Amino acid sequence: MNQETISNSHAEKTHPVTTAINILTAPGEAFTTIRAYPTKLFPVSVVLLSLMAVMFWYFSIVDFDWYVDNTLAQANLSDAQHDEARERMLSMSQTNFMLLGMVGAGVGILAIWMLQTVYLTLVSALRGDDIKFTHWFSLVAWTGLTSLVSVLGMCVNILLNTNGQLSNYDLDPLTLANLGMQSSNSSIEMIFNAINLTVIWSLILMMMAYRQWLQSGWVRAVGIVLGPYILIIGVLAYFAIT
Amino acid sequence: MNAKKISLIVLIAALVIAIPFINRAVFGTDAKAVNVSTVSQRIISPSILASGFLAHEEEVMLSSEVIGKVSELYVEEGDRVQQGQLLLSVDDKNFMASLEQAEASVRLNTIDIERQEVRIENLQRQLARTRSLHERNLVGDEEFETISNQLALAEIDLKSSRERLAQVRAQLDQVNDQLSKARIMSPIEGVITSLDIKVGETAIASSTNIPGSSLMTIANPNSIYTEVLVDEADVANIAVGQRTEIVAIAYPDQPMQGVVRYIANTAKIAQGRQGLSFTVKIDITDPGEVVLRPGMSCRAEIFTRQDEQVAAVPLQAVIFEEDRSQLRSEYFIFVNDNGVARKTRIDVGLSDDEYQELVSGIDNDVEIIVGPDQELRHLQEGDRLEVTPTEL
Repeated sequence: MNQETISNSHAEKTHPVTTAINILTAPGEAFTTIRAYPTKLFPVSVVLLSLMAVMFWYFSIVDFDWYVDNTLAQANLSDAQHDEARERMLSMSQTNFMLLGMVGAGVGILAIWMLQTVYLTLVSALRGDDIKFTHWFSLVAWTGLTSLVSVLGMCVNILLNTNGQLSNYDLDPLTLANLGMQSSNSSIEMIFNAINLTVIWSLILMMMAYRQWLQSGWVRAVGIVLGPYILIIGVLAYFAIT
Repeated sequence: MNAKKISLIVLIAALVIAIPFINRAVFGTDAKAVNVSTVSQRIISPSILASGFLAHEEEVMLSSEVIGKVSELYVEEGDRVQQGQLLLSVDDKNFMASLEQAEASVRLNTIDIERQEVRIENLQRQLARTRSLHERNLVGDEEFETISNQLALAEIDLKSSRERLAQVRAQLDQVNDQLSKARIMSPIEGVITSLDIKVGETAIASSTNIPGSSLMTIANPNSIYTEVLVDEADVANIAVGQRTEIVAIAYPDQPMQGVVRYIANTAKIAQGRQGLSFTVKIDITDPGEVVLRPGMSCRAEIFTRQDEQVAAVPLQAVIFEEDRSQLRSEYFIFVNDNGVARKTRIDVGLSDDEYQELVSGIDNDVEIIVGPDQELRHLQEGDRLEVTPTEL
């Protein structure tokens, strides 16, 4: 069924910085602009560059020896496995880890965005909506700008750290775990470490955009946008509890 | 862009910047879970390791003094023998023949001497008669001198025969001696550790390592000791009387106790080694359940300081820092100061494999951070601690 969409001719093309500010402060305006002009380069490059930059900074200041021990302490290894893994990790230089961290951050975020985009595109296609892949990808990228707030928090944590003993789990101050939500269950702890406020904010923005673009109600918007996340978290929580 | 949006951006940024500060104020930094203990009194036994082998102090390698075929062997390898016990016999036919020959020579010479003595008596009687006749001018000078000369010659012949008798008697003794060497006795009480000859083989009188020259080896099993090679860098710390723990390679879990008995005066380059080493002999005072066999490889740990209690901490608790540019090196430990780690300089003495002696610097009731190793390795001054007391 075709949905009414906002006419492209009513939207003005704005400067990318304006759109970025609007995403954070006046999302409705930003969604109108994105719907009309689904640009991607600005948000993708800003998010990727900022994440890679903070990874570069983090690995520049971290106590590498401590980092290796801290990483291995979180894996349940036998003494022999621990020693072997430690030797292997220490044989790689701190620069190698830095490059891996930077590339991993960039590739990781792009992969998540692609999955979100493909999912939304498929749903749209099934429903007969007039929103294409390029629109969804643009939306995902622009709503991903909320991660800049996390990057700011990471920078503060790096500046406050004096001895280089800062784990990657403690780096982002906006994760649920770092905001005080702790659990003795490792699966639930993993969920708390993975979800931060900017991810929640980004999902809320996507739901708002979905409502605005497709004139839908909240129930459908929540169901479609949050559906995969609820499923994944539900499965993890089930295994954690059982 | 209106003021409202700018304010919102600034507010969000301020909130995000504040959150890490609030986190630290509310939750603090993560405390590190560490184990603590107080200084303990321990025996620090620094030691020197050396490798070597077991050997017998009292050991004899028997060889034959005569050449001949072994006719009888009265012992087997592993037998216990007494001092003077007959071990083997070498075929003595030749020696017996030589003996008979020598005895015959002695008898012949004795007979010869008897004959000459009789002749001398006869000549002495003739001389007496001739002198009497010569004094009454009934016999001429020439006849008188002839009898005198014959007597003198006979006396010289007798002397010569007596010397010849002495000579053949010496030869007889020599043959008797060789004959006695055909029966080989044990010079010591002990155990036959090696039997290198069999009946029918030829025993050869030789000191070189050729077949037949070595008959057997007898050793006193109670005289077994350990001989090790100590590197010249360590020998200055070794002294006679020091306690030693010896481990035979064949019995890795059964250490034996010993005492240093002898330290060589001269160094040597041992086979398979490059530097100089000194031979050290160690008496085994308590072999435990170990069955000792000479030649066994072993490892000795010689304790260079004996049984003295000192203040000590585990080795892993001690941190060594070196500044080569200033030629400075110092030792530190971390102590628990009401839940906060404090780095404290210490003076150290000797150490063994597990503990380091503390010479000065720490009160006995101070809690020292002793582990775990992965936390201790990265501990820093001022770190918050979650303390677990540990008994060492």
